[in-house]
Amino acid sequence: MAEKNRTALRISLIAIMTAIVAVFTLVIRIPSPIGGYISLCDAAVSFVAYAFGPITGLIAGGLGAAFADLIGGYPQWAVISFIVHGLEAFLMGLIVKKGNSSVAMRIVAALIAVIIVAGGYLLLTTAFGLTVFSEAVLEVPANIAQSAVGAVIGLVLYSAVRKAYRGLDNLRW
Amino acid sequence: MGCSMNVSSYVYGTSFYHRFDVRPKLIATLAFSIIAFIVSSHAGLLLVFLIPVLIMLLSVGRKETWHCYSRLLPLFVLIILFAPLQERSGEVLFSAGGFVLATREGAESVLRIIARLGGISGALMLLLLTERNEMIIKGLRAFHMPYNAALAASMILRFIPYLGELFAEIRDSMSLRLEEGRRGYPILPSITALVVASIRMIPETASSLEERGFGLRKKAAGVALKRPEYYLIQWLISAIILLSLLILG
Repeated sequence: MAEKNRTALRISLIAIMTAIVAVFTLVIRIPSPIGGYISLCDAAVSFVAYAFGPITGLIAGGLGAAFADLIGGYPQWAVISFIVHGLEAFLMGLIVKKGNSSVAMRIVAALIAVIIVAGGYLLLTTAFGLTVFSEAVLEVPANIAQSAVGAVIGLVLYSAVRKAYRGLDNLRW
Repeated sequence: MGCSMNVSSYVYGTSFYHRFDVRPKLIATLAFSIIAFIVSSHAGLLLVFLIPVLIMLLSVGRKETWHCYSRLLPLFVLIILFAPLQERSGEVLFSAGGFVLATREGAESVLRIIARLGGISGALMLLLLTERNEMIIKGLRAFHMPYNAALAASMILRFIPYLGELFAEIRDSMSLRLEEGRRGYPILPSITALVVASIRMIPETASSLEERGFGLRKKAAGVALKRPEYYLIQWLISAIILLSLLILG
């Protein structure tokens, strides 16, 4: 495909995947067994990283989470979400290679996602002065659960979408 | 349609802040968010919290202002409950059986966090409540945001509501497949259908961009936004408020 066409394709890919991450974060919520809801933000971020690699993951994962915060009424979290989810997707995309990575690599990618999300929110919300350390620590178990569930759902979703849409790997860059 | 997502926060109005040009609004919002972290005096922190509240009340009314700030209340409660327990050295304000519940330093830390959180959230929400998404994009382009980035941003803002509605349709049709008496919808098939439908749109969207001349026309360096009446005065008002805040802080 010509370079001009590739640019149009990349812009479309990033815009649509960013919107997917935002919609998964804002709209799709699963009731949690311990009360409340689990957002599927991390499932979308993991899917984008598995399917389209680190660069699309970084931009769409980070921007999608940030847009969701802006639209959802929590704009003060937008920068932190961009950093945490962008980095999460970037590292997952680097670890998991084009659809043929081993189970061990996928587990490593999921563990990295959990560490980045739980540790990132803990450190950055305190560093940005949005909360205090003792309160941020209380959020860690929920963040671990959400990112771990998200990484698994993201992988299942990737397998399902890959079967349903054969040209998925051609969109990766 | 059963989609509960509120995509655009814009509230129609003719208030003074609605009539403000998007460019001073963008810069003032950014500068305010930075100054909120610099300010440390009690008067300064009070203003950080109150300035967005007052402008919001004047621009969009009590109902919308309450709607915006009520979403922050649970966070404020958590901060009030847990922040004093972390800062337990200094002048004791409350104690129970020898256990220090709150100190002056702890109370001040709570007020500082609440002022910054409320102020920055309020300033950003104020921008979204009083400015249409397209105008925010035009404002960013006027500050020489790259053409492709501005194009992607405008596409994202259009796709979010579209995909939200598409998901609601998929969810409703999937829920019909459930056995009688069961509520909800099958999550994995629904999100898979949404993602597949979205990915199918990518090549079509790229073709549409090309048909509309993407890559053919010379990209403009910026967008010529008309200068509204009192444009310089708007910049001046923004600068005076922000400098006063900085001096007080």
